[in-house]
Amino acid sequence: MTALTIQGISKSFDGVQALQATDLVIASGKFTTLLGPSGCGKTTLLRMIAGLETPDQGELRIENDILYSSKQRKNVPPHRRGFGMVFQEFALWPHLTVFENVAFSLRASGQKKDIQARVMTALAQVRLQGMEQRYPHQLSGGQQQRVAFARAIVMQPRLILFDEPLSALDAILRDEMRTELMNLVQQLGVTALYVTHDQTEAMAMSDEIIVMQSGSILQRGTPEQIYRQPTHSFVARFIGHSNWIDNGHQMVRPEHIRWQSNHSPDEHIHNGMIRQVSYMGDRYEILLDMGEERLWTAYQDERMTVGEQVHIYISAQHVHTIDAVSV
Amino acid sequence: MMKTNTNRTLFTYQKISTAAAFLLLAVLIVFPLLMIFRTAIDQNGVIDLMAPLRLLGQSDLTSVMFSTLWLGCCVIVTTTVLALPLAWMMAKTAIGRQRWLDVVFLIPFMTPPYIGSMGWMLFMQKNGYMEQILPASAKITPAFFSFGGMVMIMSLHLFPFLYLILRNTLEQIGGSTEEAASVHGASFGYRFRRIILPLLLSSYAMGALLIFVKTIAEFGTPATFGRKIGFYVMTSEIHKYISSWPIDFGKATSLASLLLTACLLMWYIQSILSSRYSYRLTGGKGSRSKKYSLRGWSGIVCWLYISILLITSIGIPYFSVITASLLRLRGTGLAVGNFTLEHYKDLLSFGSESMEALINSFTLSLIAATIAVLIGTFLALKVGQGKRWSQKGIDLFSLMPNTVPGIVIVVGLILFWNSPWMPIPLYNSYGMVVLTYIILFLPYTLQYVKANNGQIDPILLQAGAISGGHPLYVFRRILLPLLLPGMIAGWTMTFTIANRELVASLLILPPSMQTSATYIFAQFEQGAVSMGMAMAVVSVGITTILLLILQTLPAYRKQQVS
Repeated sequence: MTALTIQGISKSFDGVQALQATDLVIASGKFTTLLGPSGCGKTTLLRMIAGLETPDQGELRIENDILYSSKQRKNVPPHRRGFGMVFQEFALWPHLTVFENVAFSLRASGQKKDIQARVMTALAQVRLQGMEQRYPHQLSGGQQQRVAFARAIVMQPRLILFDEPLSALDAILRDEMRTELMNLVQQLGVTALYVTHDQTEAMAMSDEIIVMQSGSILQRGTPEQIYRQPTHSFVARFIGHSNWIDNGHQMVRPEHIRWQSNHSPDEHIHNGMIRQVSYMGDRYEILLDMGEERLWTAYQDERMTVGEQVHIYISAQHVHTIDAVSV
Repeated sequence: MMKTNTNRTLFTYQKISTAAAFLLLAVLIVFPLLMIFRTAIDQNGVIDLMAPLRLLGQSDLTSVMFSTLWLGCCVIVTTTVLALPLAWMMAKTAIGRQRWLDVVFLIPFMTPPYIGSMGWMLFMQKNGYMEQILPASAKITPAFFSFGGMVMIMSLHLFPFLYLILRNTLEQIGGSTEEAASVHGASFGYRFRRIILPLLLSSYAMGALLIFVKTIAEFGTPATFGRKIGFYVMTSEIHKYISSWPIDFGKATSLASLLLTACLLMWYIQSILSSRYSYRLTGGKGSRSKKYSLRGWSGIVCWLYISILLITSIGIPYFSVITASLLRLRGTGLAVGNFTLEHYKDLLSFGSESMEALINSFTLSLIAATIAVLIGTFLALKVGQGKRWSQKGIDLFSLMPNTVPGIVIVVGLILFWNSPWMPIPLYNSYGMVVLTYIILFLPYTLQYVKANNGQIDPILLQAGAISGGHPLYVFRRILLPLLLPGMIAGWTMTFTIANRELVASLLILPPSMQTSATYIFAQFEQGAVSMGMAMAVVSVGITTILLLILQTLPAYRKQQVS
């Protein structure tokens, strides 16, 4: 089932193309992530879906309703799109209590019935019972995040948009909220469109990842597909460590580098010198100088000596070949 | 479909409201100011561009012009002498922790200059309080009634302005920049010459220019002290030519044109200076300023300096005003048994002329402040981030009443609303006074609401739209409550300043109507000093308390808008 259809949507700001003409179908009931570095157009796309930016051209549909169409000269304003959105800086209204922040969309759309019950349900879902009379500045970062989430789900929207919602939190809280957010989205069974530049978040949370760069989509697929079979050298570089056998065409992931031979006939053998050893707690990360200005990363269980010459082994099945090359 | 219309309606609203803002500003501010130039070059129906210059070339006007400029220069020097040491002490020494001093040092600036001048005159005049306290001083007090005395009174009124600018800059420089310089091997002298001085100079130049503009635009002191010693400046001459016989609009508008041009020029230089030579210094929480501890002599000297400053800028004028309002018989002077609250009783008795003036001031200010807040908020929202030319234009014209001397605006308004072709019979009515107050004090609301609006992240409004709020609903539930602190600040400021306003009240009030300011002025002129000063205490007292309450508002605002 398709939730959201994007056809030929493009956008430029002051002559700079922020998003090339893009076609995309977002599946209903799934967690989809737009992943890319800053300036790749992911936020622009999200904001156009929300109605906060107007596309230059193209068409946007949810199920069978047209949200935007340059041909039909139609543009549904954000307050009529009926989406939920969680912003990067939470964007809680400082002069309203937690209760009123969450109740806002109900009151705005005139749904006066059961406001109390619906707000309380939403707050219970994010485990904020008893906090409803507080003001945002009296809450911790994680609690503010939960209020923002409750506000987005209270209307039971068909689509929830997340604009880097975890990036304003510190590292420990971010991990905690990530798990919590995943659970909530799963429980509610809503369609989620999530924007982030953090590959770990994207890999951990998504059913589907869409990798973007310089205003266009490079690859879409499950997290496994994106990691194991990148179709684009940028994707391979952006997600995880990539060790390039020849520049931009053949690469191998660090976990597939072995220190011992398994004596299979199609095994690749390479020579390298240990440049740096970093202890990560659960393993050592070894930086290898492979010559020709190639630096590889490999994992090891014990400390190794910097400067040592080593042989490394790779099975042929783990060498991934990429067709598209970019810098 | 209805859905598609909202964006288009919004777009149309933007266009219409921008046009409305420009029209409003044109009628309220721009046309009246242009009327000044128009009248200045109109010689009995013949347009003569050189007419104002020829008029100004006449010996009496030239000397007025030069004495005004000379006064401005002298006040810059004296305010610097007063403000620089204070700024250093507050920024660099332990005294700076006494934050109450900051509020106290705002009092001279908040005191209407005509009242401050009256206080000084009462204190220093023949048989004044100075001579009563210290009879030997009779030999030197007459020397006070001179150009030097005038410079001193005006400097004591204006120095807090320069002090605040210098202290803020010093505090910002003080932190990491100075530490970085000393770590990299700079001695105190080298640090001062290469780091502090260049960074301080640009803000000092801006502050000094503003002091100059404020001095040449000042009316209260020239109208009281200046008149007494026979020192005439442009503002007092403009007042003379339009209010007393023989009325000469040619001379008044020529002087006003010159003053207007001078102030706009200064303002322009100031804005160039601030955009070119001001540095973005890391400020706020992060910057720790190095504090010198004060022990022994240096501490005593600093506190002595602050005490003298407090006594001269607040103590003496307020002592004189309050004492004068309490004395039963002026001749008897400061003596036990000569104190009475009788004047206050007379002043505040219902139906009296004074009570009527007081109520007039309050109602006029109330109406003016309320309308000014509405218009000012509308304009501030139109200015927004001030990026487009239309936004810059609205900003520029709305702030004009702050750039241009009050008396110039008032002359423009008189010419505009009293011209033969004006179909709206507003002149000489209650509405005219309200309108004048609104225009004069529009910049306050504009500045406060603009600053307030700048702190509101647009994302808060976008979140409102995403949550299904119609633009009007978002405006009412989110934007307006968040702007409220700025609006309250603008309202309080307008109400306060309008309550003490002298120049517009003197020139615009319909016959037989008085405000507290004109009452004080008239009583002082006519020798009924006690009643005048009792009124000053009541009017300044109430409004100062309001302003001090306002001082606590920014804290409230910070907490509300994260």
